[in-house]
Amino acid sequence: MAAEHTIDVSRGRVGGSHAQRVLARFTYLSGVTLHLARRDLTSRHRGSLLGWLWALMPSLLQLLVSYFLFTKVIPLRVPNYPVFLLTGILAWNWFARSISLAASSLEHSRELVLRPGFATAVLPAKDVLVALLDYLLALPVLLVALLATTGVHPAIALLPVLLTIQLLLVAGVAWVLAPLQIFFRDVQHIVTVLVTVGFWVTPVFYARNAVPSRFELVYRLNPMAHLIEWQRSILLEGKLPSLPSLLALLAIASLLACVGLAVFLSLRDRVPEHL
Amino acid sequence: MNAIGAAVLVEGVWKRYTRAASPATIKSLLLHPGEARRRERFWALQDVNIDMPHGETLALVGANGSGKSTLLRMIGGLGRPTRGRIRRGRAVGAMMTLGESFDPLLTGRENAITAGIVAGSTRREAEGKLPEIAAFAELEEFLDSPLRMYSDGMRLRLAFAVAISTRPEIMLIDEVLAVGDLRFQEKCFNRLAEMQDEGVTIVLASHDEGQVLRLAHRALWLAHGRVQALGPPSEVYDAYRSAMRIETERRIAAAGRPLTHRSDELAFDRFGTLELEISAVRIEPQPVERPPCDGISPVKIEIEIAPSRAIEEPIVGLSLHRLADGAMVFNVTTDADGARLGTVREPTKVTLVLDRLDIEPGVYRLAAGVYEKDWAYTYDYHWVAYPVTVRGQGGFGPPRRWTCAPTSTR
Repeated sequence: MAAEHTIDVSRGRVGGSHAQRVLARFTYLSGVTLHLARRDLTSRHRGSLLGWLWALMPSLLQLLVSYFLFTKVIPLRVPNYPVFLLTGILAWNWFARSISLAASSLEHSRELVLRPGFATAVLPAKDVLVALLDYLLALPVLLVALLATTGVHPAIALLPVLLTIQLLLVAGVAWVLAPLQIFFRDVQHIVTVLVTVGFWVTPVFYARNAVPSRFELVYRLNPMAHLIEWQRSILLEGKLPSLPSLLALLAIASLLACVGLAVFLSLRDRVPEHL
Repeated sequence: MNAIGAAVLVEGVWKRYTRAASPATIKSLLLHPGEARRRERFWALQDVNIDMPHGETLALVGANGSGKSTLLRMIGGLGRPTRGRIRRGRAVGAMMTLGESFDPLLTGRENAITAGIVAGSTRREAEGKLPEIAAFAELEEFLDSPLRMYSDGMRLRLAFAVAISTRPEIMLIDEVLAVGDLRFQEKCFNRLAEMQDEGVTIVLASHDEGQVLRLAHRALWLAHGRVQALGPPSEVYDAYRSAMRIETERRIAAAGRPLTHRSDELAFDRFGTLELEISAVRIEPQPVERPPCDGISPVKIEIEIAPSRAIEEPIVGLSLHRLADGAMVFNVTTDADGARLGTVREPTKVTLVLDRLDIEPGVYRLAAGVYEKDWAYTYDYHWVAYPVTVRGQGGFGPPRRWTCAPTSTR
């Protein structure tokens, strides 16, 4: 059966060149994403006594427990361990939270998915931003900890680049997972399992150089391992990562984001009838 | 200007759905690999063609499950047709699921801004429209209260006001015009009429004949995903009713019964296949007393139905007609109200309670009917058979209260 299916959308009343229209559309969509992320955060923290502090609480508790565990119970002997630990925990939690939130983002915003003209690609991106804003809220704590210990190195200027790489990486994964969850409700559970395992096989609370070299490949293939290690080297030691590997990961992350978005857009039309 | 001549062009659209009992899981795929292919497939739309000029209002009519919502979704770009294509302008607005995305913890203002942004406005535009939205929804004083303090009616009014504040090229509306009280509904109708004057193209799925006749330029009647008729609304409704009559007559003939009962003991006209019979209709109290202006004075209408076989999801309809001129004063059906009867296997009593019967005192006749679940034909219809007398003071209106208190002077 030859199936022809197209939805042609003729140009609206928007004037200007093609480039201007694309730019206007991009500006609008980033505005929507930011607004929805802010709305989620406002709604989450409104009416609770500690409000925004709740964004910090899980990471700080995790920090305290891990610190106790790995200095008193199983001493790992990592120099400046509190800051080392905090860097890892914050970066990992942003990753873990955004992946888990994004996997159910379409499922949880039924009304928006079923709204004609709404760009649903915004929804997983919004959840990645929500988790990023939690990270940014915790950043001052990290800075204070740095000031109190090693001091702030000029290399910190590279942090936004590392955050951008992580943002692209996470967005790519989020765009694939969100529509898949609609077709296979197992995705959410698989993500939970993978995030739990990922916490242990990523150097969050230990240093990568403590890992026997025969497992090196596992860590080479894990982009979060690189990102956390680089964060630590620029923040704690003021050392820059090698430029080629940084650029390589940036390229991979950008590619992943594009592929993720392409996968999302190709699955998008099948989402409403399965929701 | 638009690149195509029509505002909405639906060309040979077919849509096939796969009916799945439950969402797929990887476990079910592993355990029953053939399951996906064995699932039932059905055509929700079959060869639908529509050419809507700019500024036209088209009503989609038909029973539940006839494909109205699927067609509306396809026009909205939610999913792709299996075959055929749809062309339309880009700026599309919708009133389909009103207020479902509202956040109960946030204020009316915050929710209205979000809804505006999601509908395509920038933040500044959304904020600029707030006074207009609050005034239309009559919620100025409540705009900064959290939405959980709102009643259902207030929430819907806000959602409606936001939806209607946009200026889309095409507006898609799914059964949401019955918002709030009569006066607010009237306001909504007037706003839609304004939109029509502004040249907005509207596609409206509706159960309400009055609404369709009032708003639509053309109506499209769908049954089982196929277009049965497309034309002026009154003609489409005529076709709809005569198709129902023809199908009823065909079934009566097949059963070897006389076509129409003219029963002297019942003294009214009766029509239908009698597979499901109306055995009694009672109205209590009789005569009906008009309620006081602030109160309720319930009227109970009981219909007893007796099936000759198991009847799946029959529809019960009641209408009240003024004896003096035959004008219909109200018309309700279980189908339009979303009430379901399930499968009727034994004699059953269906009860409708009206909190107030707010009509002018006088003499009326009640008509009662039971219909096949897709309105395909009539089981039994008693034409203006049951007398209803309404007594009381004249002058009717919405339930109301007057109060009086000294003005505080400060």
